[in-house]
Amino acid sequence: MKRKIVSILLALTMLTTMALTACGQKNDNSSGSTSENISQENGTEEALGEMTYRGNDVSEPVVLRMYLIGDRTPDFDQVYDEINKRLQENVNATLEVDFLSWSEHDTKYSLLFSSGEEFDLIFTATGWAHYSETANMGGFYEITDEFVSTYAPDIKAVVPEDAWNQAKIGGKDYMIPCYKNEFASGGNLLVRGDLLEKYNVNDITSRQELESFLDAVCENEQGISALGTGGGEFQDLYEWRTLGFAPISGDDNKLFMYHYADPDDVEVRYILNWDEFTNYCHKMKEMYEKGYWSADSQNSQDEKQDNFLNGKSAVMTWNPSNQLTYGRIADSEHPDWNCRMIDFAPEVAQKVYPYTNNGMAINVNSNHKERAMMVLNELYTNPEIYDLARLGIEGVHWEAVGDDQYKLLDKNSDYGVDANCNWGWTNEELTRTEYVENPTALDDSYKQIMDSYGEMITHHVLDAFVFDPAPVSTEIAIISTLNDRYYTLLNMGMTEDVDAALEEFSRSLEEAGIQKVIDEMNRQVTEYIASKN
Amino acid sequence: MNKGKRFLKDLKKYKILLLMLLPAVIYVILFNYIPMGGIVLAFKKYNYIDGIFKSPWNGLNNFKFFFNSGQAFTVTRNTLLYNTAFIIINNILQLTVAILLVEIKNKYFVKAAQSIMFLPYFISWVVVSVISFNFLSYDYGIINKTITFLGGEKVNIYNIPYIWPVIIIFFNAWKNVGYGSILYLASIMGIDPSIYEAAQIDGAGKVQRIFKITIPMVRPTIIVLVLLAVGGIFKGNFDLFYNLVGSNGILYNATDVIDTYTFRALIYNNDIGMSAASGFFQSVLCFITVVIANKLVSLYDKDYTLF
Repeated sequence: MKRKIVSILLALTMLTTMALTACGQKNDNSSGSTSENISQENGTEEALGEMTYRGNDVSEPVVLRMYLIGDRTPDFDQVYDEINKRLQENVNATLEVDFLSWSEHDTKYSLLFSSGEEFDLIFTATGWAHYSETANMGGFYEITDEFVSTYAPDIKAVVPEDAWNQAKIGGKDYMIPCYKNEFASGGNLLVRGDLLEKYNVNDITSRQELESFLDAVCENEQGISALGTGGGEFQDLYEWRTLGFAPISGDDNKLFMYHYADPDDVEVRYILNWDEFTNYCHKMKEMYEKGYWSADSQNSQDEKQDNFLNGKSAVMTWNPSNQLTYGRIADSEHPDWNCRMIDFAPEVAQKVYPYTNNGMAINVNSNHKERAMMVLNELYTNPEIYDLARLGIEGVHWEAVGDDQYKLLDKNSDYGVDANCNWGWTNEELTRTEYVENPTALDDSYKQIMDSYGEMITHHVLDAFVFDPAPVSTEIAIISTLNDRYYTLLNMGMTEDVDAALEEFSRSLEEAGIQKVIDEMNRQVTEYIASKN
Repeated sequence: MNKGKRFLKDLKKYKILLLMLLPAVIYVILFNYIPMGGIVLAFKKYNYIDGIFKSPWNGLNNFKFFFNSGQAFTVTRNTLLYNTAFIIINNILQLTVAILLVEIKNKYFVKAAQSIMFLPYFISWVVVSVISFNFLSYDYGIINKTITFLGGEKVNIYNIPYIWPVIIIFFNAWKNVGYGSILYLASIMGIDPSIYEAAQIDGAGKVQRIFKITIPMVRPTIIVLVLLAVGGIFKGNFDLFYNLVGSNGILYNATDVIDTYTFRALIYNNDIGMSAASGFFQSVLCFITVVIANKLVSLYDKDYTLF
């Protein structure tokens, strides 16, 4: 009996260890064999003779691994097979693409570097996709002017000098920024047209009009509030956009603002010494008490599009292109909603993101840095490959209308437009615009808003300034724990007493060493402005 | 020489038992001893190019963020108090449940009760957080629905810090009591039945048998389990706190533990050195408590100590 139990236990432990090791091996095998297969295929072509790309030898075939952010669309592999055929022909390289999903990229991005994962290209961005953190820890390969001119002369010709300067950290460049004037997010609203009509609102052009509309919705509608469980979503509109202010990028705690709408005003505001911030906090409390958003906002997992599409919120904040996307989905699911986009501060110019808001970087440990740059050159400037990555396969996902427009085909929902993290190589010169046969109210409002933004582009010297937190990283780490405790609550209007909370927040920040951060910020800003003049 | 021979003899004699121990030993070496080398990270300014061992030294700078924050005391206190409460309440409940299960004679009821109590142990904290949100939510929570149905005023539970210790202790007990009671059950089953028979003949009642026989007999088990738990008294259960509380600033004073605090501070800036420093700090505290607890037990009875 005893012997039997022992043998069962032994068998069990062996089984588990085998299962564990087998899993590990299986992965290794599959990745190993695919790359082997590909290199074998390439090997046959190598015999054809020497191959060059822009004067550089590319006779050895390589497989490059690229990491993008987001989720793989159903037709992604099909489209990238097409792209790989062309890359193979032109630069003798193919791409294997892996995705870091939206929910995990915050935690996994740095792991890719610290675990020594082998890859060549990766998406990056200042402010939201780990650029300065990774560059400061030495994760990216330095992109010198000479490197670009040699291996990607076409990118060199397209990307403006400003963009390269914006990407510089400590005088060095680690990113190939995109070339696009992208408007900042949250500057306008997506609104349910049926509710506008119900409460006799024709147009909203000021805060007062917006609030009286939302008051009416919150008072009279069952189950619909302004933002559903999206408390805090009005920060961008109320604290920043309508005042012509924007947070300094690189400061993830959003404690420093500059006046982007006024190029002559170069003073950086620390929000706790800024009256507008106090007003904003009081406004948010007033809104919360009126029921603009739910008391569950803090703990709900619903995203803003969930709230809007499920009919729990009357408006949705986000950037114009996402509002268009979700507005279209809402219209097709609920034709009576008649969604529209409104800009309730048309007199204030919209902020343009720096070019570094999207970009690509090369892993410092890549074995094929030069080839990676050549592949980027193709993605960025070869019109055929550019359209493939952005719109999908012509004739399947989209149809060309003239030289610079496109029309969507039904299959498009399996690939999308700009939906596959192709943002890092966005090239305005090659970007086709959409041709809409029967424009809806939503399409019209989108076009109108984009036109009016386009007319009012302002450039502020600090637009491209990125704060480097490395010298005060200890203080920043402490401050980021205070943010949830105070700032989030102030944004959601959930503090008992706004003034007392502000005072406590300010005092805690001082204890955490905010003065050191303020001094560092001022030093960097002064230095930056001096270097630009 | 003699010693070496005896060692070899023992090795041969217990080879099956030692073989059974081997996976556990390998596991501990692989996952507990080898990673200890990583402690150096707590004193380094880590970068990707130089890696773990070649990155430049950074002195005690990585520890500064924790001690300069003004939160060090609150979060350490919370961690300590929560874990103390968990240890006391869970062990009492586990022992009670085990004793009750032994005393109940209906076999089917015992099996059913055991399974139902055991089940929550396998539910991930992420799922538990969804369940708890559906109970406690302001708009749609079952509790608030019931209150309004009975004509009362809604309560925003996510805004009231002082209820949260109760909620957290409740969910933790709900999840772990079933699992823990099995250990006690096994140890009660191991008690010689003749002792009970003798007591019964001498006229001892049920209650007397429990307090005079069962509990004294399982005391070594209780001590070992408590000692093991005390070893982790400064490690906050990150899953539990992060999932139940989320990023709800109102509740932090009552619910923030060392682990959630560190997570919030470092999730965005990827500072591996600071993370290692706070892990190291926790481990040192744990080590000290284990040594002290073991010493205290040895004062009571030398046979019950771990080392």
